[in-house]
Amino acid sequence: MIRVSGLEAAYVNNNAQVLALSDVSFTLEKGQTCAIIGPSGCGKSTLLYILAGLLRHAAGEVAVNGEPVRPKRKETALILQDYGLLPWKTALQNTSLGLEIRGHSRKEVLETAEEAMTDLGIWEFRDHFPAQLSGGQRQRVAIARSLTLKPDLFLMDEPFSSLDALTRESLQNTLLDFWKKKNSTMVLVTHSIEEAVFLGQRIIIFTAGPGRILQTLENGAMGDAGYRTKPQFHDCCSRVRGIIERGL
Amino acid sequence: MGRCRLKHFPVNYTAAVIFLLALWEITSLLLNRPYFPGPYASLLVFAHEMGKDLWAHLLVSTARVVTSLAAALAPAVILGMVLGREQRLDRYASPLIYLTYPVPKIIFLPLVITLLGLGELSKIFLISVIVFFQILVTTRDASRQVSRGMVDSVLSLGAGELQIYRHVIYPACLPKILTALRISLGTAIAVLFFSETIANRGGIGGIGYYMMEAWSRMEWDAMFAAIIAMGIMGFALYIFLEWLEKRVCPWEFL
Repeated sequence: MIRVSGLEAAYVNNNAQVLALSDVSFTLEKGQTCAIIGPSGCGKSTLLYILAGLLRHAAGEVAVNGEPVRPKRKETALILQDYGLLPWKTALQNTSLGLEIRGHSRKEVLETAEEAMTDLGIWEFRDHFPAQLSGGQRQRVAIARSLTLKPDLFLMDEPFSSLDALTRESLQNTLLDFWKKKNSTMVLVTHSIEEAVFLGQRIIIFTAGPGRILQTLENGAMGDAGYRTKPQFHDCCSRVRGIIERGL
Repeated sequence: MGRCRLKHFPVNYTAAVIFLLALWEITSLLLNRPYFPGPYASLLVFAHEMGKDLWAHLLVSTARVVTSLAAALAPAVILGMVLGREQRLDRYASPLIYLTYPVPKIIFLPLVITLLGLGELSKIFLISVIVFFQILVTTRDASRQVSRGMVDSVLSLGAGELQIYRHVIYPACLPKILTALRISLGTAIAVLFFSETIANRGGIGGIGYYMMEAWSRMEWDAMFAAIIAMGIMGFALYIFLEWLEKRVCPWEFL
């Protein structure tokens, strides 16, 4: 589904080129999930933006579903931490936005949005503006919006980092459910070790900037909500923590 | 900016009206001059004059303000949004705006009258130009401040440039545009008054003309009737803009 090889990316800061990613290579099969973790400034968000086609890379190859990455790939959904929702649109209007932009009929837009919002338990809040919703409800609207587009690739940039611990876990469970049901590919950028281990079949650990892949872990035991309480979960968290600490 | 909201209208506004009328009455009593009649006498004359031709002057003046604001609004908003988003364009436009914005455009009144005559066009043109700059600068700054993340997330849904303007930039700027409009309203009425006193062909020349006529004939009551008329016009338009903001920006009033 995703093939990245020899990726290099830079951004401009104070008129100087800063290398954000250097020699990043990995592949992800269809239906796999992958968590990317690393210290802040390691370029993990940059990588996500490149996968979403919103940023251009300097060198290397990036392919999504066998084609070179391009902006506005219809089946890619991007979920950001805070900015995803438009404050001037109600929950329903926000959920419908993607389909509306793609020119679907009113009836179809409404039906699909209702289905997605019901799935996420937020249909009753459809007429609320984002400011009237809790952080968790807001992120559910953002997820509902991407679900309406029937994506095969979910890209998430620290989607739950601003939520309290309980809300975060409940949303992680929701996400896990959806992944199992829809079998879509997910790339999750996070700074939470627990989140990476809970949601990532594969965990890619980055070094500090410029980001390089420090190590890749396979995390085959993940996949159900009870994983958090199992010894393997804690073992895996400790391994990730150890690698990050040694890498710094 | 502190906003006077209509939420507390019945109590607070009634008290304010009574306070201002009392202040007026006291000033009038203390001065005790024919050129400063109290509120009661003035309101009587206002009602009487409205029954004659003051209403027509009021209508003409209101139409001029509304037309000028409307004429300035669309180009200022469109240009402002584009300049805020397209930094390359803004690099050329910014110095132009920077140099022309602080120039008090009212000084061009004689020139504008010479060019466009004493009719409607000269007044509407001058008010529009002044208001245009105020709305342009506010809209451009608001458009600049739209968060990159918000634009990106809508881009990632597949939006084109026009849809970015429609779903993100325009609604993000709208509350600031309406604030600019409310501030511009005061400017517009001031410029209107000034240009009506200078540029007129007699007849139904507007409130400014009416007032200068009353003043020159020393008809003090009529002059105060005109002051009341102008005040009512400003207040009504201000309330309308506030109502409009609640109507089109409901998310601002949660």
